[in-house]
Amino acid sequence: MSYENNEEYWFRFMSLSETQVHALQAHCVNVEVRPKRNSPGQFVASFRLSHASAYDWLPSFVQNCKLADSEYGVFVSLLTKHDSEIVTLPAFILDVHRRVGGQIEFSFTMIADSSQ
Amino acid sequence: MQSPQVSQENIWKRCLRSCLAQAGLLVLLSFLGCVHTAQVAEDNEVASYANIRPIDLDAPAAEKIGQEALQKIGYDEIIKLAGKAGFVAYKSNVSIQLTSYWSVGPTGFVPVFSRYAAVAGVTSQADSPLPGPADIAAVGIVVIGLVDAGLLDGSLLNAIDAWLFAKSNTDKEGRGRGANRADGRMVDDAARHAGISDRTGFGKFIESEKRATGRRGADNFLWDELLDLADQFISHGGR
Repeated sequence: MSYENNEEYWFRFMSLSETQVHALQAHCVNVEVRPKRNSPGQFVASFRLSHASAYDWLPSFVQNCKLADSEYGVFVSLLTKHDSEIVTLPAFILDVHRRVGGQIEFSFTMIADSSQ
Repeated sequence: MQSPQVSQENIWKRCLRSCLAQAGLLVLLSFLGCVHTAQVAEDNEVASYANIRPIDLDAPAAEKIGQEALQKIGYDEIIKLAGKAGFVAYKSNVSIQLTSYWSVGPTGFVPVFSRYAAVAGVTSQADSPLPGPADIAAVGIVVIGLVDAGLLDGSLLNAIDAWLFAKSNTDKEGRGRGANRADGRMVDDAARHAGISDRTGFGKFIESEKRATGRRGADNFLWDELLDLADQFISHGGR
């Protein structure tokens, strides 16, 4: 369900080693990688989930990395001008979560119209 | 022997002195009244600083406050003050008798929280039994309600001071449970401060940074960080 086209669905790893990042990049080209704060040698890696892509490789990748549930999962990002709304996750996001597990995190930023 | 004229003058002088003394006393009392009012206002300011409902107080803080209040004020006095605040009503109800700390009097009435206590946020439900002395967290909530109602000086209890201090620091940092509302204003304020008109673009930039840098729920941006992000947004071509 669309949320004024201001919603984005990502998959995020909170703490990967350099080797794991390379392995992830081999599966998925558009991975955004940043060094993890206060954790030298560890990286935060995320890639945008798309309805058009297949993520069959993801469950085994997560399994091989031996990550804790709290260290990876779906990241839902929202921009909103409203103070009350309902957001329903699309089927392909639920499918990824069902098969891979981990967390579902919701992040939102409330924005005001520039005229205000 | 004094003449009648001198005696009358003395009477007038005595009368004048008495009037002046009374006027002076009146001025002094008025002044003291003003000072007292100022103290009450200050106390109210402290009380209203806790702008959450007493019932929403977290359990560890409520327990600390309850424990200290029981030691310093005493259970009976707290309940007496709760009665003065209008937090207590009397109900005849068998089910209350089963759960209440209070023994049922010969009239069959037991004290329960009043509707006003529910409105004041001291209890979630009217007609529920008053807390017993062993229920220190619930006693702590009643104590916060009494401070809010102005019947108890919050500064007498160190636990309340400590809680207010911790809360004030949390609010300033923009972290913790109430952070989202503050962040909403902070993001808007930061955009305005940096002269950003594209609020949607700036919002997307913030969301992107939260995700990419591994931020989590209790790790919201501080004011200075938002200003840095605004500068970065502009340097990346944001307007």
